[in-house]
Amino acid sequence: MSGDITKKQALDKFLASVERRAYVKAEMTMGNREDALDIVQDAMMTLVSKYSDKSNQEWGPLFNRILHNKMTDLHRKNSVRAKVKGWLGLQKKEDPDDEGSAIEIAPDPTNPDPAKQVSEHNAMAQLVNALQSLPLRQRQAYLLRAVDGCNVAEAASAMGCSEGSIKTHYSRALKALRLKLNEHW
Amino acid sequence: MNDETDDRDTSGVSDIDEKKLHHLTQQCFDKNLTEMDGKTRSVLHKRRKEALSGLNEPSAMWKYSPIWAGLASAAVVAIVVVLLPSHLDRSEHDTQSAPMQVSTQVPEWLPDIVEPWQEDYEMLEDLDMLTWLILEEEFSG
Repeated sequence: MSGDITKKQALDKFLASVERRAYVKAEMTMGNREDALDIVQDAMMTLVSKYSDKSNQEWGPLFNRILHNKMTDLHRKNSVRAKVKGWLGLQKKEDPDDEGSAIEIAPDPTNPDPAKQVSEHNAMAQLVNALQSLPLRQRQAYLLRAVDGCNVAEAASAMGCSEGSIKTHYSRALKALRLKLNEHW
Repeated sequence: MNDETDDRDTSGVSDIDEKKLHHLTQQCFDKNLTEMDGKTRSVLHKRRKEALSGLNEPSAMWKYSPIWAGLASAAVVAIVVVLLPSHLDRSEHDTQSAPMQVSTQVPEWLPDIVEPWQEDYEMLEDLDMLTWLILEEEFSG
């Protein structure tokens, strides 16, 4: 019984340490807050229900792998759903006037250099847009390399594919991003 | 963590551009991380607790496992295929092997027919009611 409590505490600590990073990664990959929250929750539940008996050192790579699998699964589901909605003519049209609330778009008064902030903000917004335009696997490979600092072998393990695939996805992502961010270079 | 030797790409993007892109991405990531709103944090916290609450519950593997379904099916098959016929066999066997209860008393309704055998009525032990009926039919006819 005390072993269960200790394990629960250890898992809680581990998940607390990774959940925010996982969420931001999922959000940057999927481009959607709700999807990102669902993915992180699913990944946590899978880790708890299936891999809680593994050692603490294994949880990190396992969680990363589960997270990427969940992203791929949801992306596939969304693609199918979008196709079906497209066929049925149910797809929502984006409202061009919807730019967020006044609070969201208001400038931050604490920033000392508004020009720099605008430039950075634009570059980041463009980067996010450029990332969203990439195929999912390229996005995942790129974020694993750029954000997590994974090498090719680690990225391949997280995405469950060969090192050659990672090199290809990463290289294509890099080229596409460089082209799309040309004006901010 | 980045291994400089294992990932030379062929994208035509220079190392400087690659580093610049990584830097911008990292900046974007850090910004999203630090500016995460309280609502998202609390949702994440809540969902983590929900996920952890499943730790002490019996795993779904045990609740809905095909192993259990297989065992239940095997038990039903065993009952139907093995136990039930053997039970029926035993019942049949019991019926067949049970000592026939033949009364040594000559029925009152057959006094004339049986009369000649009355002295040796042990023979009647092997006769069942059908035989009695046949005899009755034959002799009365």
